[in-house]
Amino acid sequence: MKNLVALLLAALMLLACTALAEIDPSIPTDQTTEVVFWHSFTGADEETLLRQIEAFQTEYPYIAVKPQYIGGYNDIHTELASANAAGVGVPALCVINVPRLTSYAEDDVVEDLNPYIEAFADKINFADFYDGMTTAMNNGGEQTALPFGQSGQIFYYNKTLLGELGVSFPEKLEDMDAFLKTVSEATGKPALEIHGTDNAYFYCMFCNLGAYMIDVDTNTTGLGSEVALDLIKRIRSWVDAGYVKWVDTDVGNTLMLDFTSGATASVLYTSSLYSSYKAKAESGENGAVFEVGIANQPMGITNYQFVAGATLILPSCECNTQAQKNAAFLLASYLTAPKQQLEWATVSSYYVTRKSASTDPQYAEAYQALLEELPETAVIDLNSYVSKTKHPLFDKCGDVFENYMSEIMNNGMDPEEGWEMMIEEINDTLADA
Amino acid sequence: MAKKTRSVEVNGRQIRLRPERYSWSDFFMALPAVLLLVLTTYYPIAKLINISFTDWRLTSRTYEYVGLKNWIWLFTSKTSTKYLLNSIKVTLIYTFFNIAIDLGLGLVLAHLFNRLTKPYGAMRALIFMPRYIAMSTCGIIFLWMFNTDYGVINRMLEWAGVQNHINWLGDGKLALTSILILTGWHGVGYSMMIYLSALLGISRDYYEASSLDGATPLQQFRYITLPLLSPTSLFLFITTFISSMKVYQSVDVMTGGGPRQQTEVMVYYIYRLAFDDNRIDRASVVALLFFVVLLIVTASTMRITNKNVHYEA
Amino acid sequence: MMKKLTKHRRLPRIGLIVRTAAAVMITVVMVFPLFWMLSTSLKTESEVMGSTLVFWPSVPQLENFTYVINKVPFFRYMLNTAVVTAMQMASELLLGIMAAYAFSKGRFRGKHLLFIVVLGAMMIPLQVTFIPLYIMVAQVGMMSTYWGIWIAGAVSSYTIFLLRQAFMGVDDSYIEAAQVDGMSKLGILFKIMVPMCKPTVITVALTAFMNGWNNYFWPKVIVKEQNMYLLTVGIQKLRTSYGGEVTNNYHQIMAGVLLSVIPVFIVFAIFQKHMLSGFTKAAMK
Repeated sequence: MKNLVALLLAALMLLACTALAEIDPSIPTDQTTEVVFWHSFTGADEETLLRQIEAFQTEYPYIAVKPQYIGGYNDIHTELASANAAGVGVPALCVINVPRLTSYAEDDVVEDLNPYIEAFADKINFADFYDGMTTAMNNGGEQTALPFGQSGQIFYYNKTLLGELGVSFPEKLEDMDAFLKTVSEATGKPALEIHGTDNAYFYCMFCNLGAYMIDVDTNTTGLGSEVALDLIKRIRSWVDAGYVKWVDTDVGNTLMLDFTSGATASVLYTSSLYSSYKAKAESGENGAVFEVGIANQPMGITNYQFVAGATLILPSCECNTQAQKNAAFLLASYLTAPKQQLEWATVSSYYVTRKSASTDPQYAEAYQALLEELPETAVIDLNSYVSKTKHPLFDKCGDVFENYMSEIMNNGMDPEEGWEMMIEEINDTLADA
Repeated sequence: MAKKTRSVEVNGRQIRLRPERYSWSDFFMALPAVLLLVLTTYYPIAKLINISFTDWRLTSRTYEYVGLKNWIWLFTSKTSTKYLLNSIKVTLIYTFFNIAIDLGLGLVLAHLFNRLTKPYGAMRALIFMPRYIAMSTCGIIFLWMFNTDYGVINRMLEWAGVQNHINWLGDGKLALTSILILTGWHGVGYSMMIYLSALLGISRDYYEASSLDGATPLQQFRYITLPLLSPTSLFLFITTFISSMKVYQSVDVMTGGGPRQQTEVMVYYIYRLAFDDNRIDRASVVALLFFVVLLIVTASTMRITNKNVHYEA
Repeated sequence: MMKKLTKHRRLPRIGLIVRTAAAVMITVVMVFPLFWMLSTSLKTESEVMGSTLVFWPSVPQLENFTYVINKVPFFRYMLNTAVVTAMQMASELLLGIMAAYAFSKGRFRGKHLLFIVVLGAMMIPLQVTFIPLYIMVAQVGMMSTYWGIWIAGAVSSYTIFLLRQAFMGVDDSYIEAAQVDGMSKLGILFKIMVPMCKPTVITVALTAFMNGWNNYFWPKVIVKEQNMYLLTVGIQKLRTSYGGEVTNNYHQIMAGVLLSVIPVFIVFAIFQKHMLSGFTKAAMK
């Protein structure tokens, strides 16, 4: 973790030294400024978002927001990249996930938000965000994005079942084996299902044992360590024993169905689904009525949790005027303000990104309501969140990681052989920049 | 040929037609289509050639010319050659089987459904129906049917006694088969219809004459039907070949190229380079290679098969 | 007529039964996914996602359809799709017929070269070339417009290829006779060539229709305005996304798919007769 600290320090120093570029923060009030906003939210999330945008427009009648649902992060990335290439049709405000930010910052397609944070200091209160989140969105001193709709990679477990069996969900990785064995042997079903097509979910376990995806100093992968191989073998043995199911097709639907129908005792997935899982499990919609519990990533030698989920970026395309960018930033600060974040968290169980939400008395009532609705989402200690290695090839290496994990877990590839091939491929990828 | 003088007989008199010349009006009839094609396909290709000499990352707003760097990367880099060869292999396997399904099964179905009665007409219409629906949406239907634990296919197999759920899309050995099932289902009705119209076009006299000579139905098929269908087969072969080589949509919805690139066809690889890696410079190089290879293979296929085609008199 | 066509194969009764049984079985297998789409579109979420397999919902849910219509401007999408499809069919057919005539019966310098140019275009997938095309369309301000969607499918080399094959089969003497009668080139084209190749023209027109209606990739990238979406794109936007990952609310999506294909079914129900009459004509020659 030395690297991370060093990087952080470097980032802070850069931040301190860089003279902030000045922007003209004015937004004309005598004419309408249009803000096109691309997002990835559907259902209740989208309704909340639209409601908040509506309220924003009442407050700023001279700003017209055009929210557009584009699709998942991959769809947004594709559309954003092509719009950028054409220099036309780029939104003023856009939702994107954390791993993309590094390459966006390197390619200079997003605005550095620091001057905006400076200019709109009274609107944004930037220091109030959890540091782990904002640091994850900081690239070499440049604030690339604002945290919005943040979530973690957590374990959902069947609290009722675990209570009957008299076991609790392990807090330490070393206790995992015993837990899985007990539960699985008692139920005859998998004790855990893991989201296998996004490394964000299972990578954390590797990190907490000291195996990192990219070692920046040597430009090779840290997954080449024996620790990583041991964990791979260990997970494979769980899969072989039927304790763990590695889900790699139609993942979202399968995890939800398996969990809420009682086909598995726990799943590893995004925290933002808490309210939806909870509602389904408590109503017994899919045939099993139970209480849902959630747990953080188990501790290894460290107990890191990673920041993931949506962020807000301001594309730097000249096709949007400075006034539009200002208006977009204003909208971003509005949407990320404590009040809106609390509402957001209550409806959709995203994490509250603001420290003051739990401390400031003016939010006490809303926070209390949130605690009653989703007790565990809110009490996860957001200070324990750290950021992953920032590297433009992180995602690509992650793809290789996912590919081989699937092969080893589901298609009978020999763990050691697969691991060797994986290491070679990731290293080749890194060398091929 | 162009300079030959022709004459026709009208009312018993020979009338000499003007010697054939190049005609501008013919040229102008072809021009609008050609111009639009140049604009929508060749202009982009020219742009890609340009991009292939730069270091343009898709998300970046500036680029520099780097000479042959991307071309050298294509042929020397370990990752590029590995993925490239893999995608060529996958594309060829897919193409082979897709042609086999479309042509083979299409011909069988055309024979089976070659009865001009109402029920058969209705069944033909039903078999053709999948072709009405966009591949992007068909993919969603099949994604659901192929779901390992909740999909209708595995559940029906369960009744039939297959207790272990088949991992249709997650198993490298099966994923391409699943895609072939989807594209075969989607496309076979079309080739059946084309074959059927060709079958109906074959004069009955051939069959009647050969029946009198004592030919069996199988011999009739081998020596009459098949040769007379060869122009249709060639047409279907070429068009299916090209569309199979270009396959993208079904792979995108069903597997996203996975598991571990085992369904990563060429177009998908190019797309991945451009959008997952943001390396449109490298994507351009692979795209150009793909285009050239496809052009050569198609041209030579047409040349070879043309010799073996029997055109009906 | 029907008797005449089937006379050569005097299948014994048992043969016909076996054949019909096979035909019905194959049809059932082929139709099953469509049936599954219909049945899914009428289910509740728990019937779709439930742990027991439901073949047909106990109470058909028409809410899924109203949900789709209320969620997105569905009829607007249908109109957009119809307009673009009509535009593409018109240009594809008109330009295609003209070009096919020029390449089959015409005489001009560079004919073979230009035809290779046309064929070559068939080999270029849009997924590979769309970035430069996208930039071009965006820079002339045609993004999110009908013309912008139209242009990528304005001509089809496939159509030209198919029509040329058919036109080559028309005997030159017809054209020469018409020339003697003083008919113009366009007259020859539309009064002789097209009617003589009616089955091919209908096939090509239907293909153009299907391609236009089912066009997905290009409209998805070129349209950024929500009310300019085509049906195929609109349906994908019905999918839900959690944490930036798209999942499938199958019952609602299938309702959308079903609504979107109804016009296609109608068009085909009308043209099916023409198609068959085209076949029969070919059979009687």
